[in-house]
Amino acid sequence: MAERFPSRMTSMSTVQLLFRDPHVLRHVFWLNPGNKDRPMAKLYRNNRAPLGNKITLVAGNSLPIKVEGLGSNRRHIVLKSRNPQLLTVSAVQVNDRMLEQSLRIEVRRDGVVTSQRTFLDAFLNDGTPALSKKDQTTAPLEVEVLPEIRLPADSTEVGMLTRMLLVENITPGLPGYSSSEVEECMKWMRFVFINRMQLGSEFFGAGKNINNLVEFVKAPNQVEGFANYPKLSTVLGDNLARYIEIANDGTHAKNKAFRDYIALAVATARLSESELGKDPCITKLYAWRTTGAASPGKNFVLFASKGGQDFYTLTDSFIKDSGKGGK
Amino acid sequence: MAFCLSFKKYSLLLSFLIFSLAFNTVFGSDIPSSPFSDENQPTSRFDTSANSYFSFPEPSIQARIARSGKNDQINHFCIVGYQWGNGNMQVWVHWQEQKEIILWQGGDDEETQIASMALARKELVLGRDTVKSEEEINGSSYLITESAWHDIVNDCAKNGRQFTIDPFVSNN
Repeated sequence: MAERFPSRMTSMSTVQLLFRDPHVLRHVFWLNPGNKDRPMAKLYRNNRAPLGNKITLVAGNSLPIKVEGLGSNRRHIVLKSRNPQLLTVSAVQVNDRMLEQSLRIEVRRDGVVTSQRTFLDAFLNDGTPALSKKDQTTAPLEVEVLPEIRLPADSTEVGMLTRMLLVENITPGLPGYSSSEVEECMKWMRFVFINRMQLGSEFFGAGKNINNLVEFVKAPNQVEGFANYPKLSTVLGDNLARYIEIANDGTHAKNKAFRDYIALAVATARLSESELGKDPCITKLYAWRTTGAASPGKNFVLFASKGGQDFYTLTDSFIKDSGKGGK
Repeated sequence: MAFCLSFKKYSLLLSFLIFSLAFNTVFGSDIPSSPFSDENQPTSRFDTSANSYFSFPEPSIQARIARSGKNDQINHFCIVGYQWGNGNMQVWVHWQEQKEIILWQGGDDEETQIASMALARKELVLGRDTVKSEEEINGSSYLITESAWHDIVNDCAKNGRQFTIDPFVSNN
């Protein structure tokens, strides 16, 4: 930690000290025994952003924080968890001669299956373990603890669909991201595979007699990176790992956005065909490409763009020639 | 008199042609059409350096090189951006040494931009992810024709931003 003072006080005037280091102002102010307006303790993240009155963490998270300011007894406050089985606070660096102390909030990893809420209260350090007196000037910090997110097993159809929906859609933070558009887009992707299975796998490079969705998605050159599912291409695997990491890092700015994104993919993967609703295209959806990309083939006709993807149906003549009528 | 009218007519025609060429070059109707949907062509190129979603090209490129383990060589990149009237954008990045084009989706902060380049889901390698004809795309969500691949690369060389990255030590 950077030194805030010179190691020995020299005989300089207060004004000279102020000009040397602006942080000295707070210390001189504080050390003046006649000063009743002591700075209250304030909680910050390590990047100096205020912690606020409420934070969200995920099971297994560890959050380093700073507390600036002392209690009314001129000693550092002690933060105590109301639920120490769920969440603890430990000291990293505490020195009553320094205005700032470093602490760490840690959440238990196992056994958190539902969202829970607890508080950290500030106590005056009276030198005893009992810590009976609260610091009335420091508001309790509310902590919401969320369970760890895990994807459905990759051996299941829901697991495969979830992974496909996650990597094929645009994600939070990318230009044009809208959760409502992506939700619709995910459903439309489900329709594409349902319709392809009904029309016949042989028309989409999957060979004949494939009536299993996982085998269908694994068809050569159909969905990038899924040819050897459940082994995904390295880049897809790394993308999924990144999404899950952010979703399980309560300290990340996009934590909620990615938790919602993953929840959306899981929910859409779980919908039954009847729950999906009606195919938006009267001639049914059969393909998608990144918006603006060239057509997936001469037998495909652009239907509409949704969530960063262009969705296609088939030409009437192709459907007729398929003998299935697409119905 | 007839000659004067003809000369005037030709002057007007020539002026119109010069204006059209300038207009099209600036606003991009010389954009190659094959990489894009016939029904939905981009309206123009855009300057990625002036767009906040693509404001960190250097660290993004470095991250991609480092992830690929190719940081011990000189690498050449090119970035070109296309946009549509409805606000849609596509930014293609050509990595010369790897013979690949990457669809860079950008991001609203540096971390997202770096991740979307390093972990780009659309990385189209010539020969591996390209086919000779449109028929061979056959419903794929990602394959493109070889000619479309080359069209993007050539357009980038002519109209994109060029980057040369010297060898560097990676933190990975």
